[in-house]
Amino acid sequence: MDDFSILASPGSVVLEGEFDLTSVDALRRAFEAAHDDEIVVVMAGVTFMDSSGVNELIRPLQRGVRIRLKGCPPVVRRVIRITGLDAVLVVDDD
Amino acid sequence: MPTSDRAVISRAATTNPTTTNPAATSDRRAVWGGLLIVAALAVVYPSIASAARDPLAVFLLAPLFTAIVSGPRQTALVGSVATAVALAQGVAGPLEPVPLAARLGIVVAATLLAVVAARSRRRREAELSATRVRSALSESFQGGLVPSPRPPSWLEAETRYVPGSRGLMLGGDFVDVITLPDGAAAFVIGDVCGHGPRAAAFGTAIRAAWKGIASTLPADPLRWLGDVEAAYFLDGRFDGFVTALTGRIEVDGRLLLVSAGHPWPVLVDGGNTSLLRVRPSLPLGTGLSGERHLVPALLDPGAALLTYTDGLLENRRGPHGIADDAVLLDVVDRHAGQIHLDELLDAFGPHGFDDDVALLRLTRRTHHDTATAR
Repeated sequence: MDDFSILASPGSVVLEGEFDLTSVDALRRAFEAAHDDEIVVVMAGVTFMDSSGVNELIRPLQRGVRIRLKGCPPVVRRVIRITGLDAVLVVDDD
Repeated sequence: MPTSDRAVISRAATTNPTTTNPAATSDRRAVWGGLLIVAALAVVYPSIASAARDPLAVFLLAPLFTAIVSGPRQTALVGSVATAVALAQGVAGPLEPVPLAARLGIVVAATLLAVVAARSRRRREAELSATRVRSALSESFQGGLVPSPRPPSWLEAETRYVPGSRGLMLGGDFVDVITLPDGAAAFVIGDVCGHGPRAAAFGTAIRAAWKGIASTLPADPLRWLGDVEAAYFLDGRFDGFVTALTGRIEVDGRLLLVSAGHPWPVLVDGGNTSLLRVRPSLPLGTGLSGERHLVPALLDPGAALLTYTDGLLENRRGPHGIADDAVLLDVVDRHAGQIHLDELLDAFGPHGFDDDVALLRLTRRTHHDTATAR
């Protein structure tokens, strides 16, 4: 399932499409490429992200990077709330 | 040892019938091939009928025999030898070139057929044994991930485990229910992020560690997950994450829950179905600071706590698509809370699930049989 696209530059990652186990490696590389003090992740085009996708948001946090999510769709908000990640990253109310 | 309370079902194999059965196709092809050979023989028979006087073709029995008992290479070897010997016999015979060629042709053709037959038989045998090894491996891992629950007599525990059908069969969902030394019940349900034997093996290890810690520190559910994290993640040998929900249930129904990023359980109390919004802490293995929370609740007599892994709701092939808690509550509510776990699986994955699904339902029994509780 390659129904996703990722645009990464230092400090910014733009995600679109579906993110599940098959996109984990691509997500990991993107967040490594975007390494900065803070990474802004634009989620507005995300139609699906399961826990394996959300978990990739944790890895940059482990490296001390701050993560700010913009335009989170409800499906992602739900996973982030349940996993307790809203306590360690910033979810912007758009 | 009653095993009726544990039903590890393998749905992937039964609910995805392939439209064409490869074995049936190959059987049909074999019959047509055989009939084709008969037809070809009927056509060429008059021209080789004289061969009966010099039965050189009997040498074909050797490669046929080899094909039945051994592999294609051995058959090719024996067939070559048989052809060479038949050639020598025919020359010594002596036979005229045309009848000799006809007889040798039969031996060579028989050898080729025998090689093909031996090859296809060998391949089928290999597939069969690989399937057996895989299913034995899956079953033993699943036994480690979802063992028979051993709750106290006043608590009923039902579990289900359905492997995901997206390629790799093994996942890392795990469930366990035990009776603590002080008589209370303890349960855990969790999900190792990732698939394959590594996730399954890790899930089995986590479950076993949880059981040890819960039995040693029965009064302290906070440590059941905290100590597992300290023992398994802080040394960095596993770089994934695990979501888990664990809890302790007293004989009077008092419930203490701890969640590490796990989906919220559903509380079914009489006709009321509600989501138990357990305050989450981060999944195990993140290494990020954050405290865990102990959440109290009450399980009345006859009430049930339904827990699950997110494969149940995050199933793109299901009728509900990517569902959320509201859909789950709705489905459970429609059955007035009395839903059979298999019906629940059918409601969300009538054609199987993308990911593994583990279900656990704990029901506090209404009549407390003290005779069996001791």
